[in-house]
Amino acid sequence: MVHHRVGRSHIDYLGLIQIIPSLIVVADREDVIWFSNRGWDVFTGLKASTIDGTSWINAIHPLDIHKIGNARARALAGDGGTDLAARLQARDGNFRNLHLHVAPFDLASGDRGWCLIGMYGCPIKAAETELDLNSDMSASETKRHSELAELRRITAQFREGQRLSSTGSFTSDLQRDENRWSEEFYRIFEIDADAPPTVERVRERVHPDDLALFDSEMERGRTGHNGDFEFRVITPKGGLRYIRGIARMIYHLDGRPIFMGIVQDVTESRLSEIALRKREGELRQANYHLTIAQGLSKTGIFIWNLSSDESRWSDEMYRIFDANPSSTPWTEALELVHPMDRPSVDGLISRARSGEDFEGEFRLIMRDGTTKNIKMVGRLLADEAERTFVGAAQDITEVRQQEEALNRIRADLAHVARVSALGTLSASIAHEVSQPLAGILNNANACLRMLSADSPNLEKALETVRRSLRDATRATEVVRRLRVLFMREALTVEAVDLNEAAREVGAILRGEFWRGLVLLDLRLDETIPKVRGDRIQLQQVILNLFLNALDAVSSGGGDERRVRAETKFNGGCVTLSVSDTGTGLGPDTEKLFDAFHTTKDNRMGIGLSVSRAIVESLDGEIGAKQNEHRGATFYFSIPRYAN
Amino acid sequence: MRQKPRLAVVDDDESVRESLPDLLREFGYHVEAFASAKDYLESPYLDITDLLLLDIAMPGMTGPELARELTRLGKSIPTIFITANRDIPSVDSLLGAVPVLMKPFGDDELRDAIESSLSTSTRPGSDRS
Repeated sequence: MVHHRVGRSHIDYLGLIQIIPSLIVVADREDVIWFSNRGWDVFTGLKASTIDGTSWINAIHPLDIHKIGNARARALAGDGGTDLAARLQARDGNFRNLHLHVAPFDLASGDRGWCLIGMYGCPIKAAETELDLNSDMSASETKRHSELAELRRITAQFREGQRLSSTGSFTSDLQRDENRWSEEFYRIFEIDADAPPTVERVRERVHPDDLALFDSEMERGRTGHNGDFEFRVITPKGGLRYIRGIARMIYHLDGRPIFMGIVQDVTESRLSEIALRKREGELRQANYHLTIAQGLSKTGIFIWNLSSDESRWSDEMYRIFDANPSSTPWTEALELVHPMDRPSVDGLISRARSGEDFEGEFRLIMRDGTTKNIKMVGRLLADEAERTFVGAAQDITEVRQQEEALNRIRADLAHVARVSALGTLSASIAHEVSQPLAGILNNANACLRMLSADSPNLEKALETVRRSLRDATRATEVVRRLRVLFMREALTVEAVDLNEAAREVGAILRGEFWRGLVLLDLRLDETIPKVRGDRIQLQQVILNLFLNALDAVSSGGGDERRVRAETKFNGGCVTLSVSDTGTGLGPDTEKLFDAFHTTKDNRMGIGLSVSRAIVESLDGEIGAKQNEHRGATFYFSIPRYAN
Repeated sequence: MRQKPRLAVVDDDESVRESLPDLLREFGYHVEAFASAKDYLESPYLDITDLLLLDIAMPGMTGPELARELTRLGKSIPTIFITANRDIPSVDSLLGAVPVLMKPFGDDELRDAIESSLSTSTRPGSDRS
């Protein structure tokens, strides 16, 4: 008997209630039992002390639980009492059909509860009421009881589970197609609450692809096998649901298996599982692509934790450094660094250790003696509590080799351009050399005559010799300049005085300008600093710009036939500009610096493109613009030489 | 003795301008040298020149332009052009049959050209002898 929560003032009624030939149970909305009368205890044989919480429900026939449950729901909702017939298990293990009344019941705590009253129906035998609860039971009875306890336990578990997980539950006699479904069951399959609960109702919902599975599981069930399988249903609205059904045979009724089970809507978890699997697949795919891309771009990726000094390398990293995957990554790799690059690599590492991002280029000498050029960058992850670098190392050996090859080709091209210019210049070179030669010849002839005279004029003869020497020097200078300009030499980056370079080129071209009757006007700012570059190359650029200007004036000059070269220093760069009074720029200014773009018949058209290549290789700029009045100005800027 | 023929050298290049007159003097001529066409045109020597040795490519007024100017002024002075450039396209058309000496030239070549020019021309200088 449970009555500890009932108020004392009702003790008389309680005594009455204890002796009326009815079963009474009071429970709260959680179905936790608050009270049962003696009639209940005697009928069910469940000792008050063994009834805790909700286990009293085990006394209800599994197929009738939903019936009582629905009535309970109405009672708790305040919809009044319900009369119904249901089976309860008596202490002998047999189910008895009773008329039951389920009604709301206000608990002493003030909360709404409910009560189950077995008022009518099968009379309770006097003998049973008088049964001594403590009397010994026969062995078979004991066995039966333990089986029933197990059954009750299972029933209780299903009920609890259903309430907690909003999982639909059912009990089924599959052979007779007699089923009981919980409200949740109806909801999950979107079956009308009024519809008779038959297997066919569920089958109608099953996804066509899963029908065979469903049918075979039902068939297995009819022969008494437990089931646990998943299938898809299509709801009337066209929605797809993943359902997991679990059925367990709880006992045989007249030789027929009776199942109790649950159906669980696992759509969400299945969908998220599918999404997860898809994401995993994508991630695997991305990782695979990344690995391929790393191989293609010869870029290895690493993660380096500063705090623990632990690193993780991608496969490509190991390939680049030709390292053994089981080795400690960095130590072995850093041993390969070219001795000349050690200081810069050490600098890189110490910067990294102080938490700075790093970026650098160095060479490795591999075990087979080959050299690799490596570019390495590392970025400190900003939002990482642990100081971790993520970085990449790229094998840029090929790029460097191609650049070197390109430089060689560029040098060859510059040479071709120079030689081509030499052809153009031959006439003015002849002029330049002819003048002093003519002088020397004249002087020598005059000298000979002076010395052969009867009274040799030694003083005048000496004068001719001095002039000869001067002219010979002048011719030699012309030859020297030409040799310097047209000889191919390896590039040397040095401090170059652009003024001096312009004057030298101007001297070489003096005859050319005179021949074209064009004034070369050098307005050089003597305060400019030296620039960083190769003198021959820069002279080549100046030569090209001068020749270009000269051509422009020669072909279209008006009265004013002038080429003006100016130097100035501004913003860390020295600019040399060459303006002419020629025809000006055509419409294709964009193509001016393209190779083989030429408006002239006697040029290869590579002068300006070579000039651009040279200037850009020195981090400079080259350009052209139309003059306001007449002609065009070509210019280039080169950063000043810094020690 | 007949007065020495008066020669004028007009050349902007100092190597030639300085050396040529010395040689010509050794040949026995009287020589004056000018660095530009303008200098020569402004000089009184213009009126007494027997033979002009004229450079073609000069800044300012060129040799041929000076020759044309002299013609315009009515002064027909025999002229030998001297040039270091063989390929000036307009040389032939400008100068016609006028003698041209290519720099560098030998002394015989020079002397022959001068003598031939002086002998085929009227000699305004001799009138004043």
